[in-house]
Amino acid sequence: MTERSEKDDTFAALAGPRARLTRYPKTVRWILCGPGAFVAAATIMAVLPLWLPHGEAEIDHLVFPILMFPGIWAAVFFYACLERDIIRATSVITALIAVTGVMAALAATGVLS
Amino acid sequence: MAILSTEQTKRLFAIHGWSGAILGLLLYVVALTGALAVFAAEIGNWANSGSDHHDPLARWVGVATTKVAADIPDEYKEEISISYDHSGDLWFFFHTHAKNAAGRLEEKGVMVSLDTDTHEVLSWQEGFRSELFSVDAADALTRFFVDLHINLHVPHPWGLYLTGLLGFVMLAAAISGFLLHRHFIRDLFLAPRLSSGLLRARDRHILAGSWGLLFAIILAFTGAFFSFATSLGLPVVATVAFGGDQAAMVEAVIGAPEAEDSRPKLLVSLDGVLRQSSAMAGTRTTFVSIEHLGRADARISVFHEPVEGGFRRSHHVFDGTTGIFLGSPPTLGAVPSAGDTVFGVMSALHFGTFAGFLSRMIWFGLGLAMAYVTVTGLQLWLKRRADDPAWQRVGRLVLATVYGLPIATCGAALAFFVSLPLQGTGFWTPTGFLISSAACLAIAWWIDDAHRLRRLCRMVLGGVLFALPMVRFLISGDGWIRLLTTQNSAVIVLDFTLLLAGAGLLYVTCRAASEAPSTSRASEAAE
Amino acid sequence: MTVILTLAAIAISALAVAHLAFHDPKRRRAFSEPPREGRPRRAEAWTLTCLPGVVFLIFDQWTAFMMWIGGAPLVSWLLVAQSPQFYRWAGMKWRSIVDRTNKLQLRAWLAGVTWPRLLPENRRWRTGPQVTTDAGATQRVADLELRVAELERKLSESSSPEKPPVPLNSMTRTDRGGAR
Repeated sequence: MTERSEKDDTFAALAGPRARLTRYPKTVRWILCGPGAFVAAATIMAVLPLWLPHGEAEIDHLVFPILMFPGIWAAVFFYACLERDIIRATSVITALIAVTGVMAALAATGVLS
Repeated sequence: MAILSTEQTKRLFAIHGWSGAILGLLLYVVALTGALAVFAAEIGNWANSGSDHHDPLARWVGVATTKVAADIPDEYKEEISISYDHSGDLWFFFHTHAKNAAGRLEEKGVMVSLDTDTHEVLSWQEGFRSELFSVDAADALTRFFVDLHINLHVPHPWGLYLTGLLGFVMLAAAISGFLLHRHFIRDLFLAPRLSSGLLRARDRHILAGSWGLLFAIILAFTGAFFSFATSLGLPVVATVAFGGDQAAMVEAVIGAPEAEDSRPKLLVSLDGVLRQSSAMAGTRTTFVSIEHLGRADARISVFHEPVEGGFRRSHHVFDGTTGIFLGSPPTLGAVPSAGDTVFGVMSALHFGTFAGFLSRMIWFGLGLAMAYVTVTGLQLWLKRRADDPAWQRVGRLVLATVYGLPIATCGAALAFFVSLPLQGTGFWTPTGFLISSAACLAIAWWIDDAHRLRRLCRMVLGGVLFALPMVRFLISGDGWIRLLTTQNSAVIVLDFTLLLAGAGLLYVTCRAASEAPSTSRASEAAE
Repeated sequence: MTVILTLAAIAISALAVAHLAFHDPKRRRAFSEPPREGRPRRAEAWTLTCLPGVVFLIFDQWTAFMMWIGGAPLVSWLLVAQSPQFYRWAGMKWRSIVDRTNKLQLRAWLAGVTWPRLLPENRRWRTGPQVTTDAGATQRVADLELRVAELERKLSESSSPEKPPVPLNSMTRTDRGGAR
């Protein structure tokens, strides 16, 4: 019973954004597929130099994110377009932008290297 | 595809259709000019009625460099770029690097053009690269439509963003088209059926899209990469990896400069170095660069066309004071890497100029196929809305653009020819294009009947295609016999192709026009 | 060498695609063509379509591979996009061109044979009728004439004024239609 009530509380807390997302699904979907996918692809590209191997010439981690940018965009775009659950799509893309954006900002300021 | 739900199919269909309907015409412009850009060198050569020199950089360039360098201020001797234009004249750009009015680092120096035979100075200008490269009269036509393909003549960096976005639209349309088409293999051999206009338009679009799917994805991917690489990718990655210092990133990617040695020292015989490089590559020299002229750390870089079986241009580096061959560095990085190889493959896949005439022909055909898929998609969209007056007007606009772009390109070429003797091609080539485009749009506005408009557009296009070789001959005075004797057969081939295309289009249009009344009478009689 | 190899590879793939299109049931149905008899050998044709690319990859011919992967679908599309009616029309045109060429060749050959005969020393042909050297030709002509006469006789017999009896089932159908 206690578990159930906790779940209900969580749903109640989420009811606001959920209702807003499901009330205008088409607009949300266009935002996710348009600017959402583009910004997510750009932030993923920005953060990739931190993870990719440098290679023998020490350039692979710089070149591959730029080379892969259209592919990253296509993957995010089709995910945003085809995901059945709009709330999950919104959460995933927002989380992607937030995590990669913060990491990129930290790297740019020298905190991460 | 069967795995998609109805909702997903509807969503994909909306994206496929609306993105094409909104940006399809721009995509058509980029695809068609991209197809033309594959033959940019040949078209430039044709526009200048051929050249007397097939390897201008093999004709005593060293002597010319020494002669010109004597009058150049020392500050501009940091780097020299040596190339040639489509009429075979040599171009020297003595430059250093400085910040332009927009605050961006750019090459600044003196640009000199020389007659290849006599080494007589033809022009001499000082300024930034972006200002100087727009003054070459001989290359105005090719530069115009190559720029139209790269950035649609929209200022930097917005033009690159726009064409990059068009690359994304093409990529999304190709993949969504594949996902939407349920019978990909079953319809792969189905020629457009003759039953109804809508079905025929659908069959045309699906067939062209299915066979061109792989290259639609490849060209869209590589095109989007080239548009976004410098306008977005470089600044973003530089921000993360180098704290926003783009110059540092470029240095890291291209290779750090060697230790400086500013002791004065004479340059080795440049012509000897070029001969040695040509013997090593076995192909024509396309570009030469000299760093630190007159210093002990001088370097000579020589670029050649790709060798048989290879898809990357040869690059040789020599010591500028001793002439010793130092190696063939990769395009990116100091040593070969996976990133450099993938970059090379992507360049070859997008430009298609890696294996001479055959690869150019194939890539030209692929570019035309992409333009065809775009146009048939637009036609299908419009046929489904044929009863709506607003979409009928859009239909006339599409027709005017589809025929108007080649007509306007021919108009730009005509303006180029007429203004060539006056050295005013830089202004008149785009003006000719704009006047022709405006005329096409005005005609589309004036004529309500789409059939009449199509017939008129075809007649005009046939006429200008047929007229181009004759205008070229009248202005330049270079006939086919002279071109044959000067080994400029490519100009003859292009002349012949234009005459054939123009005459063919005129013949087909006239024949269709003469058959149309009798066909309609026959159908009336049958009813 | 790369160019020749690439052109050959594109031609092989395009021919295999043409075979697949020729045997494709949907294409044949759409253009009211009768279905093809015999095995279509689709697997073999698809293998042949892709084979040049695999060979190029095995032998490290990247330039040829890239040109093939661009050129083969392009040529295949151009081949498939034409309707069977177009190929029939093109075939007729081709045959007429070949016929005309053959006639021209015949004329040229005749001219080549005739002109030397017009020379004074070769004018013997005017003096008397030609004598055929083929001894069996007269016999063959006689046989053929006999056969033609036989066929003409059969034709005249079959086209006699007597009307053939009307089949019973067809009458029944007409009656039923009339009654309705």
